[in-house]
Amino acid sequence: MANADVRSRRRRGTILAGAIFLGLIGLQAVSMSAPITPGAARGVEIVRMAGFCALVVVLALRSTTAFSLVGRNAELDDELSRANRTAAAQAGFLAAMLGGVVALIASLFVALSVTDVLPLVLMLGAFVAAVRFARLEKRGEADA
Amino acid sequence: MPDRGQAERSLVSRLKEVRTAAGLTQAELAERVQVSRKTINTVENGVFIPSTLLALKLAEALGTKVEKLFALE
Repeated sequence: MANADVRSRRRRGTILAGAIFLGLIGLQAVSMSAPITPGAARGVEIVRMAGFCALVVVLALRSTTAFSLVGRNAELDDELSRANRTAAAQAGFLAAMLGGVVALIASLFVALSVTDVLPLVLMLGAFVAAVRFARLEKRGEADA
Repeated sequence: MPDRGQAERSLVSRLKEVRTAAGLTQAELAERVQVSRKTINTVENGVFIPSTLLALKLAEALGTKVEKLFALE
């Protein structure tokens, strides 16, 4: 089980790094995004959006389900991890909902397009879920 | 009518005492019940309340009864 500890720490680190990366992308999108013309998206915009969506989906799956690209590991899917994932999913869901509500209210005052709002709502949900999961997993890592 | 004080009672874990008395490390106990060491650690610290199934497995692995491992405050 010592290897499980190492793998668990590695998983937590990967998820946290992914969350930070996603957060940076989100901030960059807020400050530098140019409107995408519907039906005439450039290749670079399609690639950027595909990369963003892939990161959001992988991060959300990694922090709220037992999903893994390299096969499920039973040692990393025990009762504590499942409970932590449930709590992380709850936090991510609430964050995404609140983000949506804030965007809806903001749309009363400023013009917002789907491409302005959705990436941020998705990013917020996945980011909060990932950070929450990483924090909960860290609780059990103290030495015996 | 449920008693409010009764509803707020929490779980006290004696897992660490029993495990130490049995001469097992967290990692060894974790391996016996097929969970991660983190799970044992958080149960011992009272951070995580185990399911009935895990509580029974822990008791069995330590050769004792669930009531000896956990009690209501």
